[in-house]
Amino acid sequence: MLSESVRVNTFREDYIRLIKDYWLHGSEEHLIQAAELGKRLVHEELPPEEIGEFQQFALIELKQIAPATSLDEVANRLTPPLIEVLMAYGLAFRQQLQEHYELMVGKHLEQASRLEALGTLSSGIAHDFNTLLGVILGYTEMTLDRIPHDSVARQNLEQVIIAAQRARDLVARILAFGRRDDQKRRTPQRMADSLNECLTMLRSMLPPSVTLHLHIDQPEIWVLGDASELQQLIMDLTVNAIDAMAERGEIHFSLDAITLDADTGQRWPDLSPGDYVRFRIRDTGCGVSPQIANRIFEPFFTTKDVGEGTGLGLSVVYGIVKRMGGAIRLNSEPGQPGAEFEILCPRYAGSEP
Amino acid sequence: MAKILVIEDDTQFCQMLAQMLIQAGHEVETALNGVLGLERFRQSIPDLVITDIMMPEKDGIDVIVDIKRQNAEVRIIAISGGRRAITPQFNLDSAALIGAVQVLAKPFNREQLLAAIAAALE
Repeated sequence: MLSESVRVNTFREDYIRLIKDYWLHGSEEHLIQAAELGKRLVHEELPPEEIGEFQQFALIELKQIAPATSLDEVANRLTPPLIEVLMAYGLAFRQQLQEHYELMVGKHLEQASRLEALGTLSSGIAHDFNTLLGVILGYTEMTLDRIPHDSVARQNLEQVIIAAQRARDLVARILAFGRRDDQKRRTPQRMADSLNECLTMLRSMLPPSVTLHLHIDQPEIWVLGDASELQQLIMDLTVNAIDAMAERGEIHFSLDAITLDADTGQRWPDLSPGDYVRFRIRDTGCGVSPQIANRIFEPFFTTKDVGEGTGLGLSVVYGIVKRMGGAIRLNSEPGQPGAEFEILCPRYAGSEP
Repeated sequence: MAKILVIEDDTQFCQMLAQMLIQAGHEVETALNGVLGLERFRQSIPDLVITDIMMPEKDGIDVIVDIKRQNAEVRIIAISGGRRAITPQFNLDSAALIGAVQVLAKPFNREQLLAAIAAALE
């Protein structure tokens, strides 16, 4: 890749040559070339201010070729190629922006449908697991009846029962991910209360090397949700942050209200315009690499070693946010430390339950 | 002890339940789907029916409705592990609404099962 100043110089020379040819021959062909140059500037990601600079240099050169012509006159005659360059630049820039945006939306939608499929799949097999676990538990209990009390065999079978019970809890979490709207459990919740409750609990559990900061912009904002699900959402995100920081660093929680319109809504293709409660949690951890950023909400996806994590935490969070009619995104700059999860949930208009 | 009909489409789970109930001193009959379960019910009129909810052909909700039509007195326990977007709790709430006296989410242990049976037969 050439350095920017070298690229700018090459373009400037091309532009001045073009302007000189246009001055001498004034053909349509040069105007077409000017438009091509404008497009190339966009693809090379050169800023539009450079075009003004090119024009200045071109004017100075031409004044030397035609000293008898006034500067105004030279500038006038060179207006058509300048307009071509600027118009082509503007159009190409807009097109590039649109392509970029469409790509972004496409990726997002692809991820959303993949997650939905995985959710359906995982909760589909959950039923069978519950039945199988029932068989394991049942036969183990019946076998225990026939085994002397203080034998090793008995201790072993008791471990089988404990493991089956742990598996049952895991299945319950998978079902929570795949579950659709459950309207009757959704009641108005004051987000600030949920946050305060969780942070009180977390502060008593966490080592002093982790500090929690809470910024509540508007305490009186409500969402429709399930109190225990909200609690799980906050806890799972916090545990994820603590793991990312290797149990050392700062976590910032913030809560405010925002309104999405056609413009601000572009970052949130899944949401329609309206009033939302925004909850953000930012850590000072290792950040998320772009390679895994679009997989982190998948069930069973984990960066932890085998046996350390189930990989269900963030997928459960995703499911909870979806059920509340909201959306979640990860804000993590490649190469930068720290990650931020940003969650938007529809703001409940009434203030009292 | 009671005469119990178990309707459950998972063969292994069905056998396990039957064995557990026999050990607890009950008389047990089994059926591997809702249609067979209703046939068995007509033939033997049990004191208690334990039925799964998510079953092919005829699900447990239909089974409960049909049994209640034939004999409003019979005691029913619904069991469920849930499926797809449906939680076990949703199935069990529905079953309780239409007349199951006890509900159990799979997997349950023997103590829970025997307690539910005792409560259902009270």
